[in-house]
Formats: sequence, C-alpha cells, structure tokens
Amino acid sequence: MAGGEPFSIQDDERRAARERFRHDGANDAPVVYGPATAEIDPGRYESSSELSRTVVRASQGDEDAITELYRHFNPALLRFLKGRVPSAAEDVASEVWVSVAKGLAAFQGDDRDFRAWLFATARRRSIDHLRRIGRRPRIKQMESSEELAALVSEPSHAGEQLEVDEAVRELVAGLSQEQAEILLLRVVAGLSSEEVAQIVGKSEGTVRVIQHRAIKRLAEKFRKGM
Amino acid sequence: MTMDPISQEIIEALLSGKAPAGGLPEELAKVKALVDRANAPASYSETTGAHQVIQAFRAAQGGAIPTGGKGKVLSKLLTAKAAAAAAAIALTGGAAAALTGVVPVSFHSNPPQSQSVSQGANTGSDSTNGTGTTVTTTFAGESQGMASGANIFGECTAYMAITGHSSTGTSSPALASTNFQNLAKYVGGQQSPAVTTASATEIQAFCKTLLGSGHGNANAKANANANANASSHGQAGTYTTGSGSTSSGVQGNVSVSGGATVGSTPPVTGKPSSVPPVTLPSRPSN
Repeated sequence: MAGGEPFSIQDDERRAARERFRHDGANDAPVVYGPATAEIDPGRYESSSELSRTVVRASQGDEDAITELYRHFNPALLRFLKGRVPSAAEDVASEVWVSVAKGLAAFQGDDRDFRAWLFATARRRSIDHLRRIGRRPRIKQMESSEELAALVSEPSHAGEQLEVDEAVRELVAGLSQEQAEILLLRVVAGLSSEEVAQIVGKSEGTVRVIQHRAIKRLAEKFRKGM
Repeated sequence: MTMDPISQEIIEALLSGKAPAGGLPEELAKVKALVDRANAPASYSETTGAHQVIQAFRAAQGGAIPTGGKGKVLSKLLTAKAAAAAAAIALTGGAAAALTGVVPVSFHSNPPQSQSVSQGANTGSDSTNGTGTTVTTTFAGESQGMASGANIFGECTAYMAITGHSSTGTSSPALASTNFQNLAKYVGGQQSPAVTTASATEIQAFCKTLLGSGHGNANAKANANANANASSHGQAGTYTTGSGSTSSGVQGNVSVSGGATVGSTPPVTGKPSSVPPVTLPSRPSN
C-alpha cells in the first residue's frame, strides 16, 4: 500500500474480514459477524454506535428500530437498485427487505456489517432479477457530453427525487457493468473498497483499479463537455 | 490534451464524499458534484414502506404466514381447533339441554306425533301409595334420540324456573314452546297445544313433586344427565309411570320421594332401550 493510504489491512486481517463477510448466496442467510478486526477508513466508514444499537434492537424484534433502519438505509438501497435495475428498483428493494427481515433475528454485527449485508443481498437480488428477465442491465448512454454537463450544472431538474435518480443514472452511464456496480457500491451504498471487494468477490486491489478507471472515465467525459 | 493522473487519495476522497470543494480540477469538481447529488438527503418517498419490513419480520418470527409450509400447519391447527370447539359446543349444549329440558326446535327432526296415555294397573312392584295410574308416553322425539325421563325432569326444572312456583302461572312466551306443550300433554293428558293456567297449576304440582322442595337432588340431575347421554345415541324410550315407589336401585334412576316408579318398557322403535327406569311422580288428579 502506498504511504498515507487508509487501507492497510494485513493479509491475516483481510482473510478474517473476508470470512466475516462471507454470505450464503442461496438463501441470504445473515452472517454472524464478530467484532470488527479491520478499521478501514475513519469518518464515513466508522461504525456509528447509535446506529449499531439500532441494529441490535432491530435484531431483537424492536419494530421501531426496524423502521428506523429502513428509513436510514432504504434511500441508498433504492438508489443503488435504480442504478442496477432501474425499471424494477422498488420491487427488488422489497425483496431485499423481506429477505433481510427473515434473517434479521439471527443477525449479529454493527451497522457497518448490516450495511454490507443489506447491499450484498441487494446485489444478488438485482442479479437474480436480471437473470429472470433474461437480459443484461442496460445503462442509458449519454447522447452527448453536453447533456451530461448540462445535467450537472442544473441542479433543479424536475424535483428532488428526479434529480437524484438522474444523478444516479448519469453516474453509471457509459461505464462497464463492473465499473458501474463498484461505483454504486462505493458512492451510493457507502461501502469501503474492502467491503466492496468482499461483496463482489474480487481483491481489494482490483476494486481500486476498477473504481479508479471509473472516476477517470467520468472525468474525461466532463472534460470533453467543457 | 491528456488528464493529469488522479491520485488514489483523491479517488477515495471523491468516492467517500470528502473531497474538498476547492482545489480540484474542474472535471473532478463536476464528478464530485454528481456524487454529492447522488447522495442527496433522502426524500419522503424513499423512506415510506417500513410496514412491509415489519410484516415480513413478524412473519419470520413465527407469526401468521399466509402461504407456505407454516401457513398449511396453521390451517391444520385452526381446523382442529374449530372441530374441537364445535365438539365442545355440542357436548355442552347437549348437557345443558338435558339439564334444562329446553332443546332448540331445530334439534327436533320431527314434531311430536304420538302420545298415548293410559290408566291401568300399577306397574310399580313396591308401590306403597300409588294411585294405580300408568301413563305410557311416547314422544316422537324419543325415537329420534331424546331422553324422555331426562326431558321431563329438565322441562320441569325449566318450567319452574320460568313460572317461579307461581300458582297462577305466567304468560311467558317460552311456555308455548314445543317442549312445554309436551310437558303439558304429559302431565295433563290434554291435546291442547297451549299451556293454560289450569294446566299450569297441574304442571307446577307435578313438577314440584318431581323436583322436590329443592328442585330435585344432585343425584337426580346427574341421573337425568346420564339418561340423556345414554339416549342421545338414538335409543328410543317409552316410559310407563306407576306410583308409590321410592326405590331406585338401578343405576341411572331418578328417584323422587313420594313419586312413582317409571319402569322401562320395550322401545317402540330402534334398538332395545338401555335407558334405566326413571321414577316420576304420579300425575295429579284432575
């Protein structure tokens, strides 16, 4: 790792973290997490003690806590799914929450673990959906760099929600499937590169390379539009 | 023109939303703006719908699941519970009907059709003060599984409860029911369907004797219940009332002091009656 890089996980820690994030893809069984062994990044990726308590209460059946979790995580979940399966984001989100609800009582971990579990489930569900409809996800290509530039420069599009949806869509427009998925998991889901690596089954280094290329491609688009 | 290489730190800062607003190349500033917009605060529509998760969680915790394996098991349990409840109601209702003598009309598959009252020799073998009156009464319902002895006892209990031992009787509409009409016919030997005041007096005298001062004793009630249970399986019963006997050595007898012995006679229809003799008071003289 380069000096000053916040990702300085040793190999054994990485293996331990990988074990913690191993999921059963067949039935979305929750992972029994142990205490976090690798602090990945301060700030955004730190576990919130209050939210962690909410996760614990929710796993114990506190319906207020479940509602709180839903309100906290559903916006990001919906945006992630709108970037993956735009036409069925709400439906797939419902499937994800039902799956999470079924396994919530057995879940152990903090809010970071819950976030990783939630989006790992969302990723699998979106893949299942795409398989069901028998086609690859289709991402709208930008017609021109001017369109992208205009979108970014005009914050009020047609309401806040539409603006968010458009931003998500344009964030992944023109990117490969792999790049789009990783960028969404990083940006919208708020996961660290290490967590994303566990979810998509790649090494952390590979994830970094892919996200770097994705950002570079976006920047090039904007630069051409200027 | 080529872009300057983007450092990993800047990439991480952009992706984590921590990139500084200033100091970024213009194209990266726009990337940052796009990321910020994609992470805009949640709208109302994005936070509604938590009830679905609550319901799914409840279902997962063993609540009612409309479909699936657990649902089938619940359906079976509910069916069993419903069957048990129906059986309990039937048994309770049967016992209550036997005790009170008030049986819903719908339980009578046929209205009373025949009744024969005859006066003849005393059939009581150990009568002491009998009047020699023998009344053979056959209710149509008996061949349908009704217990006459228990019915008479129960009807008397119900009748006394309604009239309150009033010698003048009462005008309660319940007294016009089929069961009380049968009781009136039994006691008075009348064919009139209505219970008149005069007949009510007879009924009260009869019932007071039957039930005794304390409305009968517990054994009598228990035996009446036993009779009702025994005859509730479709056994017909025909009872001949005699007089003078107070003994009741046979299991299931209803013994009333000063009453008459009701000996069992061969049933009119169906299987041989297993209903034991019931002791009833003699019919009051008109």
